Amino acid sequence: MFVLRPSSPLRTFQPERAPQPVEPIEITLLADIEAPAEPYIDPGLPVPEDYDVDIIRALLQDPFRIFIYWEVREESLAALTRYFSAEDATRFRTVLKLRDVEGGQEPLFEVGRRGRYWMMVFPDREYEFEIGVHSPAHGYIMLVRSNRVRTPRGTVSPVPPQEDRYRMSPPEFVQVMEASGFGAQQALGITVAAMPGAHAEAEPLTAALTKLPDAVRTAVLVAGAGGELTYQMIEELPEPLRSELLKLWFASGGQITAAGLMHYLPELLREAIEDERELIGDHVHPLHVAPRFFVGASENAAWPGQEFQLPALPQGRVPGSLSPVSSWTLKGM
Amino acid sequence: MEQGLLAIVLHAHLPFVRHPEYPEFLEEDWLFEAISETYIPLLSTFEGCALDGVPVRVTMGLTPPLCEMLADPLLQDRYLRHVNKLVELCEREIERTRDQWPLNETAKMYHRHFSRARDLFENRYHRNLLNGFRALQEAGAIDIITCGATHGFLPLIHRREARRAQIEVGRRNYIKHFGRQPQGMWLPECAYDYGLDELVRDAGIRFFFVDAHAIMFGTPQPRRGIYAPVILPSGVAAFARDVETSEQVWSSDIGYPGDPDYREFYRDLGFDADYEYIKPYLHSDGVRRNLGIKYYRVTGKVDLGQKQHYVPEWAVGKAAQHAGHFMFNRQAQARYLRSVLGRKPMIVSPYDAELFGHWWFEGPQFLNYLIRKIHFDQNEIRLATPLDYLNEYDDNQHQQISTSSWGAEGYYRVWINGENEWMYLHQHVAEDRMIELAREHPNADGLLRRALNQAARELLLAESSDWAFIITTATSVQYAKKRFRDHIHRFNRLYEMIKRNEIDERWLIEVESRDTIFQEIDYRVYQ
Repeated sequence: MFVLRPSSPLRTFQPERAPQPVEPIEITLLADIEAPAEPYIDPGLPVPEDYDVDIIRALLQDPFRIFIYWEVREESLAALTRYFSAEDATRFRTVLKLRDVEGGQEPLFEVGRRGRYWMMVFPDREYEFEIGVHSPAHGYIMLVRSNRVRTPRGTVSPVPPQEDRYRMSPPEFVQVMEASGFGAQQALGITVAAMPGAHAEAEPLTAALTKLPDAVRTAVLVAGAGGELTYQMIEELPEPLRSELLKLWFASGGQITAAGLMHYLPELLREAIEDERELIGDHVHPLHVAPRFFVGASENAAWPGQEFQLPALPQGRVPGSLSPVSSWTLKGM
Repeated sequence: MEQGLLAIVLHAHLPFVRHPEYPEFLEEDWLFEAISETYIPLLSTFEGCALDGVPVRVTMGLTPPLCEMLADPLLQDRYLRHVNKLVELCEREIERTRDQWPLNETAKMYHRHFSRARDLFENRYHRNLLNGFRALQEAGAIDIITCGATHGFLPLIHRREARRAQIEVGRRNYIKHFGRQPQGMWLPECAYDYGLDELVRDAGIRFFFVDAHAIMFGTPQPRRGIYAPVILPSGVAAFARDVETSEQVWSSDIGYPGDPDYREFYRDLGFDADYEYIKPYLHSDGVRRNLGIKYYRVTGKVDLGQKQHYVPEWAVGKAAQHAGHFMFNRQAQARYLRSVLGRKPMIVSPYDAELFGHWWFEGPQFLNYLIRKIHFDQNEIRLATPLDYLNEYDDNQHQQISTSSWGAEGYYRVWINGENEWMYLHQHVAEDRMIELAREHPNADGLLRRALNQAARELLLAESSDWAFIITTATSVQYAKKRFRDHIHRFNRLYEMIKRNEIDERWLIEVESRDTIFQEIDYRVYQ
């Protein structure tokens, strides 16, 4: 859990197979074209497999994942080793370097000349990546460096407001969090709701919780029940959870830290069962990505198989009472 | 006594879909359906309120691609053709169902609906709905905000110059259509990354919207939670989405649109009718498709075949009931929040505009009732726009908000994942190349300038977040891939022509006539 590591085995770059180059099609604008008898699926015009450039870019996905792609030219790699003997040059390998700017780690991964890769990372850190060459005798030589990516914290800040008129005590901030839908118990309820087939029962959550390390499970149960996290509880958590929550604990106390832990809950559960799609199955959660224009395209209508159903408004909703489990989908993960 | 403010924000957006090379094109129907079902009903709702002296104060986000399509003569012609066929079909439906209650009432309702849309489109708005929205803004009824040029997902656009181009082209397009500087912006997908606010400020824009966790996870801790804007280091204000109200309308679990009396979206005449009868109203490929004439209601959790007949008057009654429920909840929410926060809360409820009318057929009626009820039935909440709030409260907490979006799970996953990751190499190289071209040609004119401007259009169209979104949601995947590839291909060909100084004017004319968006564009925005 939360181990700095590749998210999947390194894979060889396999660009999508582009259609054979074709000359642009002559068109007659607004012509009275006879429509085809069958629907025609236009694959689009060809795009290059590569661009003959030295490039590496890093793109954030969420607090725990960064996507990297790179492409370097053969001649660029050759240029790096041309000052070495022919025998030495053959021992250089192309590598991807991850630079954890604040954490100081700089692991190397052997890679191909072109590739794409998903890297598991920590929240609230800065990362950059390099492509270079490495040999046991001569070490590492950089060829190209990516942009720097800062991962979001994924939970509330440990920094309280400094201006007098916005200053507040930890209990007041807890009240603000709950009013805004970000309290610890709200986070738990939303996580349950986001699990497929879990709208009415907590069985999937229970099953996932059992796979958490004992210390994490204990802390989650305390926080989910509205309790505060103690220093000892946090000390026993794995990294980087421990470090992140300790910052919150020292600055804001156990109650806010409990909420912080729950903001990480979906990611913890995902890591625990190692299959995000099975657990947090809301591939596109309706609260975030709503039905849009494409639902109007007939080719997309769920007809006559899968049906979209919206159950009726629940009875007995108490106006103004901010339901602890109904109002928020955990965005932290 | 006033307890709080409610900001209804409707984000209207469609990707730029215009295919002059075909006599008809399936995806163009997205626009036509939205015109009949959403945009005209919303205009009518707002105009009706304004005529009755009811303050609307709704914020409308009209994205540049949507504005460009609404103002496009070809698409205007095609919309008329589309709605004419629907009116004709409705006439036949009235005859076909004359002995069947309540089908006949519903058929008459659709006839009125489409006939009225046609009449308003042609005679009131003179084929350009922007005329209606602009007039409402001029009358002080609504505030219209802008968006990124092609709804590009800004954090995944690599080069700062390319991000700036999205914002600046959007700003200029707003001025073209609405005759004034935009004050607010809908960040595409509410996607924020560090530094974007500086680009927004440089474009003279005062505020944008983010999802709730942008502020809740921002630094320092927000004193008023998500119920007051925060001021970013650049001086731009960020307003956060209220999840409580979003859910009441959006949610597939408890949202209003799922009420049994409302219209069932998936039971459509295009699939229900006898094939020979309906064939003249399908596209020339003859494939069954939704036509927007639906005779059934949600009913409940039953198979489509067991849906009950739609009764328009029941649905209208339910829309009124839900508007009252929504308002009552906001009153209670505002009272509670004011007691906690010590200031009138600003409850921000943003929605995709197309939800109202297209997806939730009764949505515009819900809004109509809501706006009127808020004005006539109570005095605890008031409809307001972000500008109203900023004019009323000029002391807001300063904060660095968190990276975020309103997409699934709150960050960028919808737009960068295993399905669409392949797109970004192409997009980023095109950004690099466009900036390179713009710098190499500081003051091009003639044919070269046209080629540079078209290259900028192709890049902007490739950057549209819709393609990655559609690929993720597995809806019109082939079309999305085609569009992305087409624009990247055209961009690359333009780049090579410009670099070799061998511009094929005949080919350029063809491309210019296809991808007509942003006739006002100036490629130097990439310098």
